[in-house]
Amino acid sequence: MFDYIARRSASTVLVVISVTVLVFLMMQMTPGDPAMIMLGEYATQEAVSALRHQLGLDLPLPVQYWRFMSRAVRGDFGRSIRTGQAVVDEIKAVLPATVELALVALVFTVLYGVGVGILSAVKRGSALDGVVRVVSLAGIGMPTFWLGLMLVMIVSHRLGLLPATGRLPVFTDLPRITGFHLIDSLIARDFRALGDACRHLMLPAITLSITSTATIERMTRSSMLEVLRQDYVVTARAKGLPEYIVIGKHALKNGMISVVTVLGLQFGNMLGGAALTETIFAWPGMGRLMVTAIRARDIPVVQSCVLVIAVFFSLINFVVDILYGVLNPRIRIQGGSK
Amino acid sequence: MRLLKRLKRNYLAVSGAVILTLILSAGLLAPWLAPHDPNECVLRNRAQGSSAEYPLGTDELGRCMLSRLLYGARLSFVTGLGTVLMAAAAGIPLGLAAGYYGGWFDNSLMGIMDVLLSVPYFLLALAIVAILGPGLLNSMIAIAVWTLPGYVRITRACVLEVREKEYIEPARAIGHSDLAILVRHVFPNCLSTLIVQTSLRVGSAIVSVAALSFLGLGAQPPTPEWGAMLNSGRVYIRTAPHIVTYPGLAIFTSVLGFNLVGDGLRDALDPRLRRL
Repeated sequence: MFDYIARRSASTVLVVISVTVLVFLMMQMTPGDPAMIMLGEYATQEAVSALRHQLGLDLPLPVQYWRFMSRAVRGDFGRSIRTGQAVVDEIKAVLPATVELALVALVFTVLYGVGVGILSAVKRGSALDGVVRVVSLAGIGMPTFWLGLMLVMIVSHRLGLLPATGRLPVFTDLPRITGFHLIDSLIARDFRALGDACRHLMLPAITLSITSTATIERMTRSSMLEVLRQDYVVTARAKGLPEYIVIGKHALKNGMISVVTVLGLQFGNMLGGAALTETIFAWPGMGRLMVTAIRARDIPVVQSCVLVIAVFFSLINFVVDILYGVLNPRIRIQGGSK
Repeated sequence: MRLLKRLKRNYLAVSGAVILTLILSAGLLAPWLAPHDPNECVLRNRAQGSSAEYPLGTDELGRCMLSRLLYGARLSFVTGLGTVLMAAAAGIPLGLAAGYYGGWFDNSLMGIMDVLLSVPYFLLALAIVAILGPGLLNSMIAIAVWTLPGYVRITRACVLEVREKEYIEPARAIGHSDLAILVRHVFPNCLSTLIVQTSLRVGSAIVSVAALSFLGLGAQPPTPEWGAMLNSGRVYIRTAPHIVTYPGLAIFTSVLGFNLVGDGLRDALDPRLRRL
């Protein structure tokens, strides 16, 4: 097991370093001189070269990378070209909103995807199975941004059931402790705010989770079907164990191994895909920050967002890989490559 | 022929093919089918429901929705196929070379692909658009870069399998060059896997490019691109919901079409990939 963890750690470190190089090169690959972009097109040549020197853009690339990284490690991502604020503060302000949204979406994915996937596999060939399969096929092809718009149109505007924009009603006074509204409102014992936060989370989380939910549902179904055919399941049934133990204990354990790995990936894709959901629901998160920054060609902000999410994603994958090894002894004994 | 027969028995694939044929012909015949110029604004007819003159109503600038949707079908096919073909054109040769030659080239190429895959896909697309700047072609390139690793990996895996086959050795013995062996013997044997891969990727390419346009980072107004139409109609969702309903329905239907055909092709051509 130690060997396995060591190997996975090494490859994670390698990936994280490569990602940082890639993100660093973003600035280099962007056409135009960053100093010129910051100063505007009417800047004098002297001012541009002075700023270039100040930013270290006249240094050789490896030196620039080293400076970029040593600052990033200390949490200094530079300043936004658009607002002049420290990028790290901008990210700190929006990160909890995105993570909270993605976590709730992940809970939806697990509840529906795994739950219905198991049900669909157990009741294979039934009407329920048929409906579920069509729904998940539709879910995979569904443009999430359109689904979001339709939910806003029907659930919020027509039926008036749930709010369409923001994280809380305007004028809600909730102290910011963690930035996670669900946790903050619990700490403040403000149960009205908690309810409001939940209601605001519903539609965005459904929208964000739809593709993952459909994917997980299909995977759970097929992997459960495979496991349910195995000899040991037949044995368990022959021993006279009740069906819920056969499925819940014997089949589920093996059936979930591959699903767990994919869940990690899906969580990462949610963080990356949040830009769409956040734009529809005016959710003040990282995705919206990125889109605004891209439109304004504010590369430092984009760079830092990509860096934060990508490194976070690698760490999640690392944890998932370790979990995979724990769940599946075959993996850690064989070479450990997937 | 055998392939067609097998496909015909799969009713889901057939319905997918019917959907695609309808959308493709709608796009091709757009100049004749469209009742109006897709970019003609008649401001006094803003955001109206359907009528005899405008079968699907008008958008926020008084443009005919039906005409814009028909022209959008062209763009959707072009962007979807174009994106995937870009990825295939770069990915297949790279995968062939990596699988055939192995060694340091293989290792470093696959390393780069792993890094690309280790970034959440939409994030990668956003990062590339950030570098290249917004625009339809740039967003196609962004999605193509994200699609690339899949092609490289699949081609490489296929080459590794074919390379060991008996018929490669004689080809080498009679003095064929590496290139000839790759093109004449290895590539044709990977073809069916690659066709399946391509058909499955087009659908997601269409959604992804539309998604970038929806964020205002892809096609720019007044291009009648479905994602861009959703973006500009978004503000009118309360007063004129039809403006955001039809383009999304169009994206959804065409993606469903490609996915159904892709699933069917996979089942027919590549039994190894068949799911339960």
